Amino acid sequence: MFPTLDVGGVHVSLFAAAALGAGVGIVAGLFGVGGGFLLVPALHVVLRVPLPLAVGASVCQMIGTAFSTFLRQRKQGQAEIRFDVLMLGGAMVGTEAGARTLSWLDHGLRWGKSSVPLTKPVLYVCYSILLIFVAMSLIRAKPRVADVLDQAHPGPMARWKVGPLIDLPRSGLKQVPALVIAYVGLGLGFLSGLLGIGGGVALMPVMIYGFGFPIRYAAGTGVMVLIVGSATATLSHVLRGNVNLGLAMSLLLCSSLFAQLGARLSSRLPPRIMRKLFAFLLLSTVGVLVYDIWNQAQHHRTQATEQPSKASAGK
Amino acid sequence: MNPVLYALLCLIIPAVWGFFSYWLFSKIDAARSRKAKQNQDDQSPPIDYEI
Repeated sequence: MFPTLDVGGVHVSLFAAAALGAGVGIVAGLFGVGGGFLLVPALHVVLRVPLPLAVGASVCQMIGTAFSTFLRQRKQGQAEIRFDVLMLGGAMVGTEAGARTLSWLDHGLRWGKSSVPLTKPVLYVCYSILLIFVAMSLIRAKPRVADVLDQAHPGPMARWKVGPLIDLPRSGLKQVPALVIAYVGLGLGFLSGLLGIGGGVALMPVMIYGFGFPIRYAAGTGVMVLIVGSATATLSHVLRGNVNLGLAMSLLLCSSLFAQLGARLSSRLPPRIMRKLFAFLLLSTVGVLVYDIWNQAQHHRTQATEQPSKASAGK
Repeated sequence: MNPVLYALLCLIIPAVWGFFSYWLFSKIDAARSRKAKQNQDDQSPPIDYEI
């Protein structure tokens, strides 16, 4: 009844893709995140889209989200531009490195004549580590630090005096190591190219707890990197045939519309509850990934036990 | 399709949608705040005074 998209040999219903985009949009609006960390596992687990194509669709739709976020933040003027510029170079290199790594993983590890696919285990492990790290930092964060903090308190990464140092006047941080910021950009770009996430979910804890940014400025910073990173990642993935524009656009259209609904819901919940809910969502995503791996292992085991019995029946 | 054109479309179309959604939602927000302000202004002042 509904038109379908051919995504890497998998037929994906446009309605299902739109519904998934709507769900991710509500979550993104509710918690003020991009939702890439949720989109890629959902595309793979729910719609069975191959992981490289799920990553490609995620980074492509991210261009739209990043662009509208950039326009909104520009109006508010709460971004630390120097931090963004320092991250840019590293982010571009990191994005290409991430996309290349994904391509290498997709070819698999050669073992004699057979090759073992590595994409799924490696990506699932990376996702799980990242999501658990963020969930734990949310659960352990003191309410005062997470909700009220409006002044800069130099964190461990800002106190590390190595290489050239730079002042970040808007956020009030002084003598921050430029090299560390560039490497943060590299790491962020790598995550974007490999996992198809915007990196906000990883960047926010690094900025707030690592550098000691005031929350107001942490929210506005990194958007420029998001635009350049998502554009670079999209180009890298298009060249590898990983981007299905139809899938990316159906996700983007619905997620951007439903994000407004999520944003409205968020104003009705207290920040403490929101933080716990978000941590629960992250841990649930890890649970889904573990279940998917377990399910696949069971499937392989069943196949392995069925094959010898079929062979003996054939004799 | 020409791969270069496809790559360009993959970059341009989401960005155009991003710009359009920003424009659309800013208009909606502006209309909503205008309406809220109008409702506030329309409320009649108290008529029963007590000294």
